[in-house]
Amino acid sequence: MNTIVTSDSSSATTPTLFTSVIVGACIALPFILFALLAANYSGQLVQFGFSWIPSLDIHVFFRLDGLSVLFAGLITGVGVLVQMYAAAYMKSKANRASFHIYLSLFMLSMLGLVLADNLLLLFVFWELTTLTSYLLIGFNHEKPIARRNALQAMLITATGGLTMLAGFILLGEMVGSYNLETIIREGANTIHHPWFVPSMLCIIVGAFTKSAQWPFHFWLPGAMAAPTPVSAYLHSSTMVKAGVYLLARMLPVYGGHELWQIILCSFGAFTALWCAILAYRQTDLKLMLAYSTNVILGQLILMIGIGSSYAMTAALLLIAAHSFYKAGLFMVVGNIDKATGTREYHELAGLKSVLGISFLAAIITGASKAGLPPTFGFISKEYIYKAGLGFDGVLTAIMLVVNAIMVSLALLILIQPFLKKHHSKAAAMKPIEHQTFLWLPPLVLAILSVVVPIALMSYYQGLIINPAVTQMLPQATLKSVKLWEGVNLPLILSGITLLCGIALYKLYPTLSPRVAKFIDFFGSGSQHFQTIIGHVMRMAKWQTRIQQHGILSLYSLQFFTVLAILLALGISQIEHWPRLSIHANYYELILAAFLVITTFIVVIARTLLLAMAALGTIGFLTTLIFLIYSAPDVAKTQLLVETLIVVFIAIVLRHLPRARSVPKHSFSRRKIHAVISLIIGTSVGIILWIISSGDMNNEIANFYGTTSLSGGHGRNIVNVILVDFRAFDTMGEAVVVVIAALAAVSVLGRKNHSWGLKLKKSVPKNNSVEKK
Amino acid sequence: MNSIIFKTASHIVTGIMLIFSVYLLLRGHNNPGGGFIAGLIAVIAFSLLMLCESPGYVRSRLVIPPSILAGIGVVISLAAGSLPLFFGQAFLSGMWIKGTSVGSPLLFDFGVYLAVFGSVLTILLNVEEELS
Repeated sequence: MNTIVTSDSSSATTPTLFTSVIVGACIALPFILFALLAANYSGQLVQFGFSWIPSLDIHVFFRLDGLSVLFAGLITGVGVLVQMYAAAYMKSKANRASFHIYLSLFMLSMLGLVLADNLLLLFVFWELTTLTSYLLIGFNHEKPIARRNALQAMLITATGGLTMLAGFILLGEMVGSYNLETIIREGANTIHHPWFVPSMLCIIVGAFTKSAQWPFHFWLPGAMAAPTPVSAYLHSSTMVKAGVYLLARMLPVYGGHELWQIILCSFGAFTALWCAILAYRQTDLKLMLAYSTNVILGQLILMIGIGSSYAMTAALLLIAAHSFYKAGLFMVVGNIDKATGTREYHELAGLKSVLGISFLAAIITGASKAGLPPTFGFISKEYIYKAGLGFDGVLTAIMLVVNAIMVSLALLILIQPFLKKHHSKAAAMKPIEHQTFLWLPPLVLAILSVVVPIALMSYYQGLIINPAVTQMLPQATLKSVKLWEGVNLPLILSGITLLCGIALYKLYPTLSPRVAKFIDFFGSGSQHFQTIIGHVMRMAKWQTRIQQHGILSLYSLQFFTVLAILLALGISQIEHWPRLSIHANYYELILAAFLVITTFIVVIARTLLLAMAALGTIGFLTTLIFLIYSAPDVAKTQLLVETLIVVFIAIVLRHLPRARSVPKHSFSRRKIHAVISLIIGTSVGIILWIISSGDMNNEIANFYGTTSLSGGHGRNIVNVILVDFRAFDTMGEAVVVVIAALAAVSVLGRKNHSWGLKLKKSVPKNNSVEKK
Repeated sequence: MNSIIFKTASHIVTGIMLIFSVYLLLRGHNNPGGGFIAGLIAVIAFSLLMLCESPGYVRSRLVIPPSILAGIGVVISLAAGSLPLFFGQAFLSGMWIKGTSVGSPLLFDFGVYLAVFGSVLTILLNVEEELS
């Protein structure tokens, strides 16, 4: 078999035991977490955790209430299904174990995000989701497009995250606590604080980037470079809803401000409309779903902006409904991709024959997407209309258009790819549904889309909607959510939506290219983003060209010039000059004289060997100074370091004959050197003089002196400090030393040396030594 | 550097210096010495060996690559620091065997010793190999 390369890659790799164990554990983990959630939550607020950094008011506290349980349930519940699906979907990949681990890490960060009861903790988890989603989007890292889009998503969401952190800090300082509970309770009282609006805007930016609102919407379709399980999980049911979660959490704080309502409603509605149009022009099924996710996110933001009890109910219904049907549809499209190798609308036909169960799942989830009774999507759409009708007619009309496009998209995905007869131009198909995990997860999601609204609505309301809405809108009164409420205006609007959707579906072949032409006129968000990034890169290259010339003597000149300026500025601030008094022993004077003489030798030396020997002498003389002032440990270290430097120099001089003479600088350049070194020398001298003339604070020294033996079991204070009192610093230094060694090795390891950066054109030709 | 006197002497001196470095490491807590200094002395010892023989010779005598030793050193320090966590004390608290001066700080210092020794020797060997 070794000589035959089979085209069916799924049979090419047999999973090792290790991989199987990891995959199994990754499937079990969300299941266990889901069970824990279900066991601990029964409609009441639950809080647990421990104190982390009490001095900064940062605690690892988690809370379970209606809103967080909704998200946590989706994260763990859909998480089980996605892990299962990924186990089948990624079967042929060699590094599938790491994929499952990334997915689990993401799940844990996301869970932390929605459960965190502290703003700063929430931020930490927020950034962790950004980081793990970067790994997941860029999982096919051998493709440049995956790398680029992963970076794009990370840059946008991380920028938003940092903005949000600024908002969090403003909010936390205003309220006087970072505890979510306190903020929800007292945040609204700060409405007249000057920081109120800035903090609100910062948090909105953070939420908008994460939840892919216009003008940040383009990263989400770009993130479709990820494997399908990632799209089904991160980009439909969990991560992109983090912004929605955050805004829903902040509703009690900011909901009363009219700017909040204006921003959320306008951006939400515009995102929904614009991305619906963008979705309509796509021919790739996965991109259609991606843009329609943008649409749903826009609708959710709009609902939070409206902020009535109907709107919040609609949002809470839509979050779950959308997670079920969109994750299911993504999986179906993933199956189409697996079966045919393409997702292009025009190349697909007759899939019903190979993807029978997926088709069933697609019908139900598609119906939910289109908002047909009795699916989950139907209820949530009814409530969107109810909320819209109670608020503003124009917004309701926009929602109607948007939902009509959603209907047409559902029809597009269902009818032609599955039902049309297979023809010669369509992509070849192969059966894949012998793998249980490819059809089971979407089918479960499809069943949930129907079972929850029909049978479990009262549970859903009791566990999630009621507690969540009472927390977000304390004054609101809630009616029970029912699947069928008789013929009313929202139902009529749903009928109109359906008719418009069918019409749009019929028009798709003629209308879509025209829409595409219209859209292309504006350019894609991704292009604009790449232009901005391009400018940043050019700017970076420009300043690198200026600063990084690759000439060592200029680098040190730059460094010492800055140092000289800072020192001179510092000394010019001194007001009380101490009296100069010299108490020196004869041996100290001799030492000083030797130091001065060797320093001059360094300056006038014409060969490198002499200069280095003189420098070494200075080092050894300095060691003597340490000894005079009874610091044997420091002296010893200095001695050894000097010795090592001599060894290094010896090696270099042995192998680099051209480096033996000191480079000649022009006379004017040497004058600059002289001035700068004089300034630095005098300044450091003055500083030492001032320090030693004042009273030393002996408190610390005394503390170490008395506690060294009793607390650290050692008489050598320096060593006790190093390994016991301040061992953490030492550990950091040890790590730094190792990192320095690794960096040096990696620099040395480059076979073709281009010293400095690849900017040799700007290097003047007169400096042969440094170029060598 | 092909002097036979240098070569012969270096082998002997290296050995003595290594013993001295361990001595400095162990006495560090009460007298001048400690992991950092001892590590540097060990590097200088091996640098003698490297100058009279070759970097390859030093690597072969070390058996374990110095970069790995550096990593092990950091891990040992971390382990010494984490040890108190299992006894309900804070990270990096000193723990002692009753009545002796052997405890987690000595282990920590040994980790520092290995980290410094491994890192500096790595740089030294690589510089020599790269230039020759």
